[in-house]
Amino acid sequence: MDAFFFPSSSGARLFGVWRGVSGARRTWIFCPPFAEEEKSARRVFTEIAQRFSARGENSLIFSYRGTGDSEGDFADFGLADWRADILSAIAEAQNRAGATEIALLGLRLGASLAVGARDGAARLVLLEPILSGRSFLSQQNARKKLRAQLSGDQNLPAHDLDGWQLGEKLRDELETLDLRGFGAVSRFAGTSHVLQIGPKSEVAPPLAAFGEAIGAHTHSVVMPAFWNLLDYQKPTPLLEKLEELDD
Amino acid sequence: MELKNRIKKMIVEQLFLPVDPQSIADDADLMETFGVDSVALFTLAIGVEDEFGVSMEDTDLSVELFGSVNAIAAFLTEKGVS
Repeated sequence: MDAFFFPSSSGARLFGVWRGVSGARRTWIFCPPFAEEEKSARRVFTEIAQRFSARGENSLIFSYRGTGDSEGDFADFGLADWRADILSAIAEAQNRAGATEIALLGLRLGASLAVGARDGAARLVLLEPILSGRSFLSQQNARKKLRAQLSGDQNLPAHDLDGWQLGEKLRDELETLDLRGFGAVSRFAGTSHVLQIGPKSEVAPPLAAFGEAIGAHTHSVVMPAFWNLLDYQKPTPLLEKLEELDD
Repeated sequence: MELKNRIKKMIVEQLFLPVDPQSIADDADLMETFGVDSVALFTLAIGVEDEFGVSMEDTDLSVELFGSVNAIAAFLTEKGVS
């Protein structure tokens, strides 16, 4: 495992963790979610990367500009910047791995960003992509409000994401992010899988329609939404599903 | 299925509780009985929207709303769900 920095399109350095395997046939770029979801998902990402290493595949887990150990202030960036960061991560992975198949694995908002940065990839695995930025913002506000009621905290910031200040650019981009409906996304030429993660074994119609639009296989993984949990739970159903998809 | 039974089923599914939905008393305090925290409350809010097709406004959201099956049923009835 190699922890390092690599350049983004603006020159600000991105932090990444590379797991390289000799003779690898495939290289995965992990596209993380944001804020609390990123923290809760981090350990699961590591476990998935370790599984990929064990089956002979490289992986790069990185942090977008303004998040984690990467340079920059969160409020200065937006979705277009972070899509560009995924492309920078792909370029970095290609430099390190040489000619291997590039695959993107994204979670939540990271999955939505991966859809817009997929051109250099042959494979997409999208875990619970955010289809509506407006709904996402509304849910984040709901969570913030409930948490404040429990803690008795009356000083709620108007625009933030779990304490991260939401810049105007990002707010506007989230308000208009909409991957639902006919024509919202184009078909992906490579192999793609969309995974619903939650209590239901039937894939919800909006997610199924999105999967169909990009030409993906859709699956459900029955397990708690690990990106919302405070306590770690081993993501066995997800790991097993990802093994199944290894074709 | 009766509304309260649907709510109990939703609670068990959403929170992955290892209990029979019918064992949840209508007036049981969900926070005390199942250790419902802010994450679980948020999960229930999403479950209510998904399961019953209602949209929760900012003003609807309160810890009390998710206090018991009875409280959730009263909210849904007010929203026109039967």
